[in-house]
Amino acid sequence: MHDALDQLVGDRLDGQDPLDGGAPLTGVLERATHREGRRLVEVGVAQDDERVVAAELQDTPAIAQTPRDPLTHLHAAGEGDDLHRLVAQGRVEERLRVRAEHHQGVGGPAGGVDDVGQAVRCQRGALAYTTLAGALERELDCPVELTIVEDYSAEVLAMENDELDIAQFGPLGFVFASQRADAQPVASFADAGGELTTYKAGIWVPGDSPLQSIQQLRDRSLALAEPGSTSGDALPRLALAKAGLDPEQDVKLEYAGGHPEALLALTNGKVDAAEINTQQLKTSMEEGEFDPSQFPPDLGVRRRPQRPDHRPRQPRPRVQAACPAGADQPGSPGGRGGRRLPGRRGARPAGSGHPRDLRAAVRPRADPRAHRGGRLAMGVTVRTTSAAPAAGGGKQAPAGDAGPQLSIRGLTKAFGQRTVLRGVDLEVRRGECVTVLGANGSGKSTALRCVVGLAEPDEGYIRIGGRMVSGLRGAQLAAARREAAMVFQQIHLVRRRTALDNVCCGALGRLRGARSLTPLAFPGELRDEAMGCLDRVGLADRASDRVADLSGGQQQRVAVARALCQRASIILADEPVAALDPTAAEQVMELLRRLAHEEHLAVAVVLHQPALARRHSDRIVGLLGGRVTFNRAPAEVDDATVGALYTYTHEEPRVA
Amino acid sequence: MAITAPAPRPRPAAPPRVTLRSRRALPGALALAALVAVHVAAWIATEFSLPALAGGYEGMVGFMAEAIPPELNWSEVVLPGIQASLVTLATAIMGTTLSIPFALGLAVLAAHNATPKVAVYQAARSTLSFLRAVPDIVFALIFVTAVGLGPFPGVLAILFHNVGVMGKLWAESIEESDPGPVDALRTSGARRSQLVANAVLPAVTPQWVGLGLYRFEVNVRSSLVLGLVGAGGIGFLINGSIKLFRFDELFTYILIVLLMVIAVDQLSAAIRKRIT
Repeated sequence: MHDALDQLVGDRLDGQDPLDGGAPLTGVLERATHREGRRLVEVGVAQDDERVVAAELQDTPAIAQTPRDPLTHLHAAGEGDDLHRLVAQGRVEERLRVRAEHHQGVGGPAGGVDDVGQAVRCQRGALAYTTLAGALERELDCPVELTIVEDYSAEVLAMENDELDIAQFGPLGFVFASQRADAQPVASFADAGGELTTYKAGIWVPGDSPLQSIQQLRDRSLALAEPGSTSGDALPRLALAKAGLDPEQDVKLEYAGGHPEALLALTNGKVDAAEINTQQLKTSMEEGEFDPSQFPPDLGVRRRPQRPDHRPRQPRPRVQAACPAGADQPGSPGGRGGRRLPGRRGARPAGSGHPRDLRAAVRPRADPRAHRGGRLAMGVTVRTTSAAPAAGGGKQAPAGDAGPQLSIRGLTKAFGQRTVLRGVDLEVRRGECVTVLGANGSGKSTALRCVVGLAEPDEGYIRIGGRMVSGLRGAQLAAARREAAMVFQQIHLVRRRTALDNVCCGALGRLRGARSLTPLAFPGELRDEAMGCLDRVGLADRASDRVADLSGGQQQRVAVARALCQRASIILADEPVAALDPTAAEQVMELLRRLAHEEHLAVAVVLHQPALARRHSDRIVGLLGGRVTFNRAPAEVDDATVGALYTYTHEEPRVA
Repeated sequence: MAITAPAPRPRPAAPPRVTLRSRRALPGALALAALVAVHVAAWIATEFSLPALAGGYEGMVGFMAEAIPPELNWSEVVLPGIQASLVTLATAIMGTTLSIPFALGLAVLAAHNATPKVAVYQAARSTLSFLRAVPDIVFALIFVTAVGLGPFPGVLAILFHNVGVMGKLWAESIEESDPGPVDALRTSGARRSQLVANAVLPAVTPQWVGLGLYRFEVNVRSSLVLGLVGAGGIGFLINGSIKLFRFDELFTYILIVLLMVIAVDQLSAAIRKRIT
């Protein structure tokens, strides 16, 4: 940015009339202010009744009602952030440059544009630009549409392209408006007395600062408002230049983003000096945010002398160096007193006449700115089909293990109005592989989910390893639940992780602490155990492959390995082969049967394939409509029995 | 074993279709009417006017004519532009990266399927909403008062705002993630923190990376805006060239930003490809 200003200072505007295209920025402003001043004197017109205007403005929130289908657009803008602050605080006393254009077919005001000349003062609390628009409406006797933008650039462009009739600018914005859009000044803000208001830029340092003059700012930091701001950028630069300092080389300039930010930077001790204009000064003092007595010397960049009654009440900072900015700057805050404006109308040619004339003469313009009882079903006799001896690796059956490892009795479960389980009994012993057959909605999966805690039964009890789950709490419940591991149809592995990492996660229930949070930190023993589990399902060689890279059957076997790593004595498999091809399905079922028979685990498998059930299970349980309909050894289950499970599948049983 | 075969239920006499259809049609029509009304109101509110756009083409042409050709003076425009864009990029990188731990924590707490308690969920959601509601430029102003001027407050501003936005996006991706692996690990007795670390996070990582990279791209552009409040960077130069009506320089800066945005986009595409 500095470079951009450099460039501006350096060539484009060097020594030239800014409006003709050249002179250093400082020179541009100097000229601009002079020029503005001169024109103001010439065309800044205060009506004889500005007191009335002022009075009206104080009481005119209602004037803010601007009709649609405007005949004249009024667009107002301040310098950068100034505008928003001004509008928010309603403390605008800034010179207004307006220009009006009356459209054809509408009775224009008798006096024409030149009658717009108006001294406007907005009291604190009023919405400055709204009242301004109201005043213009009254003066022009035509509807005025007000748009508020943040920055002058858009106004100038809109004005340049006939999309805006009247705009309000700060000094620099006006220079550009004048240059590019041939904007003419027509009015300015004044105080209640009709006096043109003004403000000045100042360079402030803390009260205990050794800095006494602008020259001493060499190598010091100076907070400015923002590029292109008149009092927040150009005038301080001008002051520096006049003090023989090169703003780019000799002083550490920092753009704070706006006047308030620059002030904050100073009061927070972030810079050695800061630009504070009189408007910001006044605002800050009223807000109690700034005590000028703590920042005595104003190394001052002057704009225009202020009237004594306008001076800060606190000790006035001394002005170390006055900047020439000669002329009248559009002032904002400050001015209350003063002298009357020359009551001139018609500084402009063309005045009253035809709209076309006006258009030709005046063209400044616009700116855009502006969301379910449970009764026991048919009793199911518990039988142990095979009390296979504890074989292979797994866990030994607890001594004296006579009862079933998993025992479900009278399980009832309803989801809302839909009753899924109507008193289901199921028992699975160690070393036994039980399959559950049933149509969709018969409650198979729900029964399994109740066991592992993914669903809460409404009635009935579940006994795991001889312990009633419903009587357990906390750690004991967790321990009991850990005895049962679930294998899902959808596998539910973390696909992006390796098979081994997934298997390790089966042990999370007995791992604690930070080492359980990432596979990178899993203990070595766990990895060894998990590797053993993978070996038991025949996938040790795929341990470091990502799950996503494994086949469906392999993935399901990894899921079984995870259940093994959980050290569960019960494996519940919910349609584990539904998504697998026949070979893979055969393999998985073979694995589950082997785990029951060889590793002495209690295995319950929900299935949809009667053939698989016959081949791989020791017992088949049939579920229909939430009730157990049969519970026999595979050899005793004929096709008709199985068929009955699926003939009546049309709708789910409903509770009356 | 006896087989209990429930008697077939009688079907309803008349298919309820007609009633159903009309019952659904009314709210649907009302919703559509409301939607249209809202858009009509919005059309009016924004003074949308195609004729105005078409009729004002000359102004746009004039603007473009001023911007073309771009000012390509190396030492005064291009080089400073590149240097400033690096500051902008650095601001975005710092702001985005430093926001990750906070966004992660809040995202987990603000996802209904991962949060420990309803109260915590509400608190986390509120925090994220607040951080989103405060424009980054306001954060920048706040931090200017704390740490002074320069890119640092810009980093902090992007950090805070980005925690709000990225935290919400991440929380929603958690809520949309497959509950299966979480259920699977829950049945193994895993605690919530273990579930989050071993099931939730691995599942959402690809989305999170994608969302994070998207946020990075957005933050590059945000740091352009922050240049306007003293955070430096190329936004600062852009603002200056607008205020001085140097549209040829403006165009050069925009070209530099374009290159930067394309580079970031390519990079994030490459990273996303590798991660998913």
